[in-house]
Amino acid sequence: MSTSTDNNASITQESGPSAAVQDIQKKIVVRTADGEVFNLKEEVAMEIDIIKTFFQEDSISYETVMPLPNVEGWEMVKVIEYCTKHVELKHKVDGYKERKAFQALFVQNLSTKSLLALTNTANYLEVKYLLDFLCQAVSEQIKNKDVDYVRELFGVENDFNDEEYEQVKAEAPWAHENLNNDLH
Amino acid sequence: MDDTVDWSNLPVELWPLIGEKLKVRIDSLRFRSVCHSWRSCLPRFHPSPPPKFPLPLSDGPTSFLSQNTVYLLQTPSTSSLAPPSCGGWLVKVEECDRMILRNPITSRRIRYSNDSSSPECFNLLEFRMIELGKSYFLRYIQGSGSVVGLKKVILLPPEIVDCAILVMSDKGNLGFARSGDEKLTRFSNGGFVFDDVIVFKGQPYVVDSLGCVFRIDVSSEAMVKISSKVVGFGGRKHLVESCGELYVVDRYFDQEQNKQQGTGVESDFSRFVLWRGGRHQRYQSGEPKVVDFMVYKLELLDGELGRWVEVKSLGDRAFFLAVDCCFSVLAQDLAGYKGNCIYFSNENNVNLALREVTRPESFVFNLEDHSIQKLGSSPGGSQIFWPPPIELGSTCSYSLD
Repeated sequence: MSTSTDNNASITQESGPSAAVQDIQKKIVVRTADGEVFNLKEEVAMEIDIIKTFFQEDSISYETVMPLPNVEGWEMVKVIEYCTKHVELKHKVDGYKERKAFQALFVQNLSTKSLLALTNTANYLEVKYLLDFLCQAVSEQIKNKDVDYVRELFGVENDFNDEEYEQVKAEAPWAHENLNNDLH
Repeated sequence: MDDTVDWSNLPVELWPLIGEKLKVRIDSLRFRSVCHSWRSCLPRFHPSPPPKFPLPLSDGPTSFLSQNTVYLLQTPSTSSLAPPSCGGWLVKVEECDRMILRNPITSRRIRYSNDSSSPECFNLLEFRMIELGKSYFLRYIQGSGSVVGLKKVILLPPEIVDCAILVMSDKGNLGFARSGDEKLTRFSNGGFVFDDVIVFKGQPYVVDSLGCVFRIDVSSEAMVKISSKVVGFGGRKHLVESCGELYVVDRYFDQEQNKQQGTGVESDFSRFVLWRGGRHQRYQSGEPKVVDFMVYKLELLDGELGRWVEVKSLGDRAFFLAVDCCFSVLAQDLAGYKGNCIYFSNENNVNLALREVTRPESFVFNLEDHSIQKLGSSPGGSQIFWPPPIELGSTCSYSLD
């Protein structure tokens, strides 16, 4: 599902005589860990802070293909998808419903493992709003589930000993909450 | 889960960000109970201060919003405490500065006996909690008792307006306020007396005493009539959402008592008299007896007013008409409940129920034979709400009083 097919064409045109026309739609090229190459619109690429820093602050030419060794191809696809939508909705006045619908679809078929991987990627790439959204999505998986399920889901070992666990339980209601008035 | 997930693949600094997203105390506690590392990621839960709202007849935001959530508790399938096919239990939790456990229908506080030898009865964290519905009420900032004279409060969905409520007074008037407002804006109701207000498909709807439903446009304060009236003359209408459709439940009172009660002013006064008697005394509720229900489903038609279609059977669903909210549940999800029934309380004054001036009881109405039974009188009755399975070996006594 990568967009590497139109890559080569864009790279050669960038430095050509029609560069002035191409300037309107400048592209930035990145390569992920698995060797896939992605062609990003400038405005989308600039949403990704790590890319923005690389090209703008260090004044590196757009012709350079930026390596992203910590990012997998499928993750890049998802990040691009989200950032593109974000840029699109920036210009819309009342995008609340559309954003919500898009977000729901975005995480719909992601396994927990993929969700965590994507969160990690969003953190590495420094896309703040995506990281925020993904943290929220992970927290949704914790909500309303019992503790054992959460442990199983995230592959966590229960490392409390009995005494410690009694303390943990003491924080949780029930009997306590309704007997005492001083809780905090 | 096809591949194994290893939570530690995520850098440790991200877990607090995830934990912070848990805004409900019980979820935060759950997070902190998972393991040492997670526990240290998240500090003890501090609820954000509740939003404040003005009240009718007073200036300034003198009340704060308190939230009740009704949960379906289910034993996880891996639990050894109960077979997985066992139904779940309903709990209602109020979260203000602390968590309070309430009977889901009557909102009475559930208290455990003050016996220091009885251990904690069960650990909520070991259950799956499915949220069934939320209800709201206002508490006075000074004193924190529940506000008198309000029948219902709903929180408007954030996409309409951020942090704003609609309140319905006992007399059936509707008001609107944003958090921190100085005054409540009263909606002109054109002479209608409203019985209920809910949020349905993201919009606020009210029903009047004749069964006409209006959609409210908060920004323009307009009320758009969307249905004709219900054919039937019950004393109080309730709006219920079930499986994405809107229903109205018409509650019929004993006619003899109804005539005696008279208009709203008189019944308010009689309640006032009861109130002055002292808040710790228990009274028989002044509410007339419920004798029947009729259920109607709203059929929306293009370009015309929607019409009500009588519903003879709820199938495998049960409707709950709690004091402060209405919801519908698939009966088989709950232990001891039956489908095609309406579970309700005989106390309809939210304030009296919360202040525990009266001792409301729960009843079940069966649509099949129009019979009404009191819950708790039948052998399995009290098991319905409480308790979920107790850990083997521990004992605990409780009372629903």
